[in-house]
Amino acid sequence: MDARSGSLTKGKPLSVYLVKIVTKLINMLKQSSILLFSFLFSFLFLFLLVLSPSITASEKIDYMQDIQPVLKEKCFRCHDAKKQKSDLRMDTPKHMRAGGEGGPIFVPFQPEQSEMYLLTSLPEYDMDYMPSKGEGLTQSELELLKNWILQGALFGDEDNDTDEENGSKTEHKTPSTISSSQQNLTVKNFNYNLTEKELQALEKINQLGANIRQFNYDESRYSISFRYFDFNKYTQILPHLKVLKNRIGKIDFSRSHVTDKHLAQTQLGNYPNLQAVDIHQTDVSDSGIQYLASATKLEYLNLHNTGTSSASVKHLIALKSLKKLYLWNTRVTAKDVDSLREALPLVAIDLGGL
Amino acid sequence: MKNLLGELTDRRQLVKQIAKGFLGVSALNCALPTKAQAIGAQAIGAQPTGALSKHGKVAKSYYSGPRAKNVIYLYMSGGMSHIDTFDLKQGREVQGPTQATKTNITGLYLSEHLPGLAKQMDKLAIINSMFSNQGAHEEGRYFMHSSYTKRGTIVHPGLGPWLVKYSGRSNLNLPGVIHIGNTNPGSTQGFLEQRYAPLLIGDPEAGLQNSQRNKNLSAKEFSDIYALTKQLNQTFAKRYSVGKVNAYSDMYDDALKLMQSSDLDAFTLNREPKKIRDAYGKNAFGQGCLLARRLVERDVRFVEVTLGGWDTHTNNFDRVPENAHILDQAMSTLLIDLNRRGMLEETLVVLTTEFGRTPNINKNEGRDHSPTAFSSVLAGGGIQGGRFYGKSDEDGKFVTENKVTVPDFNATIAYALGLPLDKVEYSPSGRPFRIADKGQAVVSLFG
Repeated sequence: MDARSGSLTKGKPLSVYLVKIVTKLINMLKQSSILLFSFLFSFLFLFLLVLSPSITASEKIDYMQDIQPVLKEKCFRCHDAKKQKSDLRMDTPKHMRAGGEGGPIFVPFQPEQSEMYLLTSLPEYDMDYMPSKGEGLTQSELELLKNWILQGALFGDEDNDTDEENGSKTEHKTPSTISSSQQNLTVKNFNYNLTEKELQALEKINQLGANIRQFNYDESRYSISFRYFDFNKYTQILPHLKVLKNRIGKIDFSRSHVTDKHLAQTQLGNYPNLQAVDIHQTDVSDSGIQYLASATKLEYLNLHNTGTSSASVKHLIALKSLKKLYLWNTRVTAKDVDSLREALPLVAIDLGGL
Repeated sequence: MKNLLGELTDRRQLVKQIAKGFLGVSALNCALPTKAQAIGAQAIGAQPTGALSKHGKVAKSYYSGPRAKNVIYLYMSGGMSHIDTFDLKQGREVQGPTQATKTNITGLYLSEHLPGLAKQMDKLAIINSMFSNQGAHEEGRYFMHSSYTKRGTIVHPGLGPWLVKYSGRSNLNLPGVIHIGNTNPGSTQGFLEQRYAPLLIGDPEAGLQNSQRNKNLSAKEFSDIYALTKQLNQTFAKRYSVGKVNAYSDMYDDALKLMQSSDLDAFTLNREPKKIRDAYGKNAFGQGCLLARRLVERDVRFVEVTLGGWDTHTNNFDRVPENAHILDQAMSTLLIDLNRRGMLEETLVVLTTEFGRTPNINKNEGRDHSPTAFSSVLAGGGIQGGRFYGKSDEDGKFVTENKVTVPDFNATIAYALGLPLDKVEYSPSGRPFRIADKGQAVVSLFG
């Protein structure tokens, strides 16, 4: 801040000084050629133009004095008390804060997140360019707008609120520091508490060729698929699975080369939150199915197109949490299904058929 | 090989990102959400799905909340008449000759032209309060697929490419997005990278064209030629390792991988028993739906199948039954087939169109365009079926209850897939875009 205000004190007298010199020059040259005059004038103009952003970047921008006149000229045509295109009204601070149809039009300290800056700074040929009618914002006006947002998009009425009501209120309404606005933005990056060890296991599992992914919007559960997995590496992957045993909600062996042996090795009872197992279209048979009995939390079990037969019924009956059981194209008989339905009346059993 | 490694690192990065909780809404099911997390959920307009108990503990059933992995998207091109299909107006003059039929849910009725779907009503969530502001075909299709209105300066991505961008491919041998019959406006990769481009299968029965090695070339010769090409390209590829050059060679590598993959088998519909092929319907759309199932079985993430012919300005009451029959047969068989394979839990089936049709029957016995109220259907992927959501007025012209805009609908699909609705992606010109623009997911549709 200090360094900036330094340049400010220098900036102002310099421009005043320049104006003086140039007026003198103009007086001297009044009778010389018009060409020279206009050249000098444009030189002065350009110089001031270059100078002005450095002033605005450092100086505290006053909304009423610096911003509103620009908005009045360029935006009010469609966004004021008389007309509110896209439900947006810009003639009072209150309405500015309220935003329009598409939500807020600025985010304090974040010009690149602020629609009113983004849309006005687009190339003019763009369909979204604002203003859609009339003259657009000049480069220095854009700079001004950007800096106003960078400084927190203050309207100058924030202090009044504090005077009349209790003192802490202002801080809530408009974040007055960059850090407080960033607090709002960290919302999207909150932590996920996998331990370092679990993270490593996760990565190892992927490296070994199984596909592990989070349940939709659920940090606590993962689903793992072995569809494209080389089962020669199964004993290598098991220790890593064990690290994540509390996190595994679904194991998908479907359409893979899984065998009864692998189900025996998995020890499904060790996965306390395992709710779904999919084995469909595999070579698994009754001698593999017996190992499912220990997965007591199972809600979904898909045995379609496996060697499951009558011998598995007694193991399936143990699965008291089951909600859906898929048995199409298995060797389970109608009688077996009856006994399953009797033992597990709430389970929806699917037997295929079109 | 290079590309294969590229994909693997992508996957690794994906897991890392997941671990960081990049999903903007992952606060939803987490126990005891902090204040910041609660704001996060609010920011995308989503409600906690896992029904937080009084103690802040989560009811964690597998059958709660959105759980879609893949999507089969059935697009009714031309503007499906909602009044003659899913949003009946029995007893009103506007109904015309269309009759109702009972569904497998007591008290709910569908059009007589949808007898198969009526038997699957328990799986369907039918939205009768869809709203679009685009009344022309091209613009309507673009809006429906991309959530943004069509404009000259940019092409917005469709949902499929967004899905693969954010959540990756599960089967590296097959493209992540496949279109059957047609690639609709607004459904391409748009400004996203070329590698998210959909693959178009024109005729489902013809399968994937030109995927066999030329018979005059032995496998050895072919791989030699390819190796030589790679070698010759090496210096160039190294010097110009930029997006577009890499995109080209990536595409080439992907094509080769697919040619050599056993997953190519997915495109051969002859592998299905005749009984199943016939059940889907002996027409391009029916066979397209069967192909879609085969592709999703092999982890293709987004398959779109288009059925045209819904633009019934004339002879609505002859043409809708014809088209509805094709739809009914294919979609009801698809739902049964997915369900008995245990795939409906994680496959979202979407049925939608660009707009509905007028209650008013014109002088040609037709109905004209009407985007202010129409119907769409969702099933599977965590959707709780057996219900209608939202209402149109007594004639089906305007929405009267629970309006679902096109971006809201797409946000709901993205929500089903667990995608970050609030994540901003910048186009090459630096402008911010999101999966479903500012759409709000209809969270209450999920069980």
